[in-house]
Amino acid sequence: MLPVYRFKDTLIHGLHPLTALMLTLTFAVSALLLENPVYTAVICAGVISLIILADVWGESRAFIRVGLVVALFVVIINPLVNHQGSHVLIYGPRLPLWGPMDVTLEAIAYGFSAALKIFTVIAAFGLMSTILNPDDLLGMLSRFSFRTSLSAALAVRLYPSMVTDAREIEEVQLARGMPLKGGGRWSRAQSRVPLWFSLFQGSLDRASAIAESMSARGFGNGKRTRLSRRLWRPRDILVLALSAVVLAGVIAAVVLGKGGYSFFPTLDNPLENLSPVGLAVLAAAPLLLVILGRSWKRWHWWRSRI
Amino acid sequence: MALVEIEDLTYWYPGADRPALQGVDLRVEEGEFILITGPTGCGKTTLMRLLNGLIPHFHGGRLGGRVKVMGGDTRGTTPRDLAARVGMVFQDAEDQIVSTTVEREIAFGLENSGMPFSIVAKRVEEMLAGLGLSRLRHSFIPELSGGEMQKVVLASVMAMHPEVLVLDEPTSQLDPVSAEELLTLVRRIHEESGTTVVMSEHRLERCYHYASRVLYMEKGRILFDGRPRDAARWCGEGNKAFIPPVSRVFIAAGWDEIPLTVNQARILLRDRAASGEVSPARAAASDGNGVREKGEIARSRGLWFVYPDGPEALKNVDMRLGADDRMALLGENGAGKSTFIRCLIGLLRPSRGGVTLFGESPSQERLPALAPRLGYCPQNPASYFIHSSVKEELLHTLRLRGYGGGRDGETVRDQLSRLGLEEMAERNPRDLSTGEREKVVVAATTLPPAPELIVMDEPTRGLDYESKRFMLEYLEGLKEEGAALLVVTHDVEFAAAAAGRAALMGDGGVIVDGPAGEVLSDSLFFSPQVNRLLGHLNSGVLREEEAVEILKGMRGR
Amino acid sequence: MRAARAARYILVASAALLVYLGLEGIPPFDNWSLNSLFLAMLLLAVLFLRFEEGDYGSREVAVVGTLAAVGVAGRVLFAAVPGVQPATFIAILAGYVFGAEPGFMVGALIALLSNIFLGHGPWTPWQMLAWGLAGASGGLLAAALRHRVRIVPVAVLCTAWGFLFGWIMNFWFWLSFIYPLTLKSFVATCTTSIWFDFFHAAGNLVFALLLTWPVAEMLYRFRSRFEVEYLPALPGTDMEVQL
Repeated sequence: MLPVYRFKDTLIHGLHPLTALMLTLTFAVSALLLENPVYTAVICAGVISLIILADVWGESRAFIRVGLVVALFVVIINPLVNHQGSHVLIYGPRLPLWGPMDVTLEAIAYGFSAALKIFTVIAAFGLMSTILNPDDLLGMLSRFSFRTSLSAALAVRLYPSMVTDAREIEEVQLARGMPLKGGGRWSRAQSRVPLWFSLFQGSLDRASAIAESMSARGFGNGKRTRLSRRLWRPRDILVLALSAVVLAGVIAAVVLGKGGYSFFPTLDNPLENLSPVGLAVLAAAPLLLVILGRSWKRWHWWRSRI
Repeated sequence: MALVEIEDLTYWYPGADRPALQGVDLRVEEGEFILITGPTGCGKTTLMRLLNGLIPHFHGGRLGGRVKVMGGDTRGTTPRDLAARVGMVFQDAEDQIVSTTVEREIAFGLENSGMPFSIVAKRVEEMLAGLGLSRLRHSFIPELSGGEMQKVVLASVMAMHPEVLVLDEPTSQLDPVSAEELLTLVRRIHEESGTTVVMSEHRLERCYHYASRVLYMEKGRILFDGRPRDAARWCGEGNKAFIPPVSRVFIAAGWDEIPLTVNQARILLRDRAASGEVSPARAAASDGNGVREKGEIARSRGLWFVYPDGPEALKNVDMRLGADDRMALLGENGAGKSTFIRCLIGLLRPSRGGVTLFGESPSQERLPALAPRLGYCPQNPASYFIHSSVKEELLHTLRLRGYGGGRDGETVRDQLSRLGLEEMAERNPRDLSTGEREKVVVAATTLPPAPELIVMDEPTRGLDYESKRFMLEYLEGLKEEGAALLVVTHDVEFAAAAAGRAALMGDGGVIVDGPAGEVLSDSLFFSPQVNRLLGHLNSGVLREEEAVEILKGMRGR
Repeated sequence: MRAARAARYILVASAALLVYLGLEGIPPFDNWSLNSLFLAMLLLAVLFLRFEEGDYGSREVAVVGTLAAVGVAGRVLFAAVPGVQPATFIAILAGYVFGAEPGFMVGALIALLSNIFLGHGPWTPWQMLAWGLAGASGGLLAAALRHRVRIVPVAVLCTAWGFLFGWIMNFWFWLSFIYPLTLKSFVATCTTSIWFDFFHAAGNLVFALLLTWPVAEMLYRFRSRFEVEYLPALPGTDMEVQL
């Protein structure tokens, strides 16, 4: 199995890692902060259009699938635990210690709205995972916490070797005559236990050797510097500014009470408390990026400027 | 002042019952190129660890005598201080790299020593360009080849501009082409930057003649310290295997002048011929125990293999293996050799075409039943070990072959003594040296009754000459017991000595297949040293014994 | 390292402030789905800083990286089996043998890195926190037992973490996507995942009973190499070993 990230020649992949992180987090945070389902739907559309723009639809399919499953779960569980709301659709039985199991229209509506929210957030994280090199993410971490990021980098680099070693050990033991195939699931698992130990011991031996090599290159307590040469481009400033505007707008809306929406006891009219300016900003930000990204691909002049 | 001064040094590892080094004296002057030779466990690695303070600061232990690096006692300085002065490259690159990308790895040591950004950036650039790694700057480390990884390690160490570069068998996990590339780089670093080099290495033919001094160590002592030519003579007289094959041949033939490279040897031969001392005579052509037809043991017919995420690894391979064949399979990395043997023994299912082994079609499910007739020695011996003692490994193999019974203990003991491993019986196989591990795997896979087919994948990787010599003699003995042999190897010397038949694979197919004498002769790169030396006299000469005979004949005239 | 300690206090204070503002219901801090994310990140930062400050050298970093890789491999390998999760066991044993901080690191890194393969989401910080705490608890247990390996306490801890892990994740889920935030709805959320948690706990119990001895032995053997033993210098040496 490989990390989902692959470099592609798109505007989004060409962003500075910090910019890419801010962009995706802006979408996730906005989706979490705004309660009105109309806003959420607009943000969701924005995330999906960016996924298409970054040409990572295939890579983020797994996220979309997980998002749908979790959303379905939220849709089901909310009416079961939540019995507020004035429009009772089904009068359920009264459970001891629990109370009535009534299903209300409002609870169902809340479930759908929460489901859309979580789906949007998962899709936003999917976008992040597919456009942000995990290595760069760890690199940003190392600014604050060097040992943590070094341990993490080491794990990332060791994992593929471990997978290779595991396959090799299995093949060698098969050829030696160990009955690893066939038989029941339990006996198959049992016969593999010594192989795991071998793999584990081998990994620890490797850890010792790596520690020695690190010491030989002067790893220890003390001042250290860090090489980093990530370049900023005009597009980063553009995208960061866009994200900042959206985020500031969302927070302002929440503080001013414009982002809220109440489901109980009766559903608000979703269009009533809507701010046209806010909606326009939410919709315009991804649209602008899509236009930028498409034109960037086409015109060399534009490409060389940003 | 000498760069490194070691005086009367004795050292015990913690918990060891005998010293790893005893009364060692050594001076390293600036600009030297010192080659350390000796059998495994002779203390080479320990001596090197002393040079940058890993002993005693990382390993602990008990130290007597003194180690001074650039005038300072290493006990008073930390490895962190020494790291920038003494660079250290170990055997296996996989066991040294900590970062995920090439650029980061090269910067690692520099960052540790707290160098300012501008210097780090400059040094990284310098190393990328100087060692030919620019193309790989952003590559993900696990996707590199072994040779590339070891180059990255070398770059990471050299980026700190050490005054002394210490290399502990840096090519032992590499194939010959990458190994040669790495050794060439080390020579270039020595020549162009004047960095002092201390190296232990078993591919002596690549660096012996180049060294300014050669040390020979045994049992924790330095027994010889001198110029390469003298070292070769000294080793030759003491019947030590640690000299280049070409020198060994001349010593065995009793010549008084000892060349260190093929080129030197050819010049020597030509000079003698010109001065009338020897006349290039044709010795009797070796019989080249070629392909003899006997019962078929394994066969592939129109074999294709395609990896799920990769290219076609095997393209229409037809190969027949007789019951007394001793075959060597050569070829570049990625030629399909390993894939072929994995198909042949049933680890991989052929995509198209068919494979028969012992008359049936092998598969992962059928392998336990085939195991008693098949001995498979993997490329990496560590993957064979799942127990904590050598004896248990062998017992387990016996049980898997279904020979359970009261005589198992005895069989194992006999087998261990046959391979000179009696003292290792209770040791953990993971703690053994590369050569010893390989021996344990061979001991286990060839437990009597010997299997009908022995398949070996790169059996000589990381082995020194003495272990190789031992392995050859052992395999020769197994011939008597009627075991067929299939060796995948990069090592032409070994192939020439062990095999009667050889095949060259390339681009997923078999390019040539025939008697070893024909396939391995008359090639610049796929011929053993002795063939390159004497091939113009006798095109079939492959083995050292044959060469010694020819040279003896020439001397006598 | 004073700066790091100050940073830690600031982080703890901001976490407390976040909770306070949230409970007071001051927008935008009344949004618990977002608060929970920030809260987890602040706590993670606090605990990461502890590892950063501690006296850990190349061996600890190497072993944390290696065990995290093992845990990631275990998690990815068992991803298809519902609930069963060797990662929890590995984090706990890492903490047991190497101490609470490295244990926390191993657990947190397993979550962070395995999600590179399995998918990041708003759950990542909470998973990191939950697994990290599992690892740290192993360290505390070892301190309480003075590093004697006892199967029963380890097995109890592993089993407990099967449920605790589920509950921590449920807590996040409940905070983020369930309305109203009452004990009742929390219990209901936990009931829906009870089978999943039960398998996780049962798997942990099996791992603990079968693997604690051999794995702990291997890890302790590795740790014994940490302790650099300087023996007295040999006679005739004019300089004492400086430590």
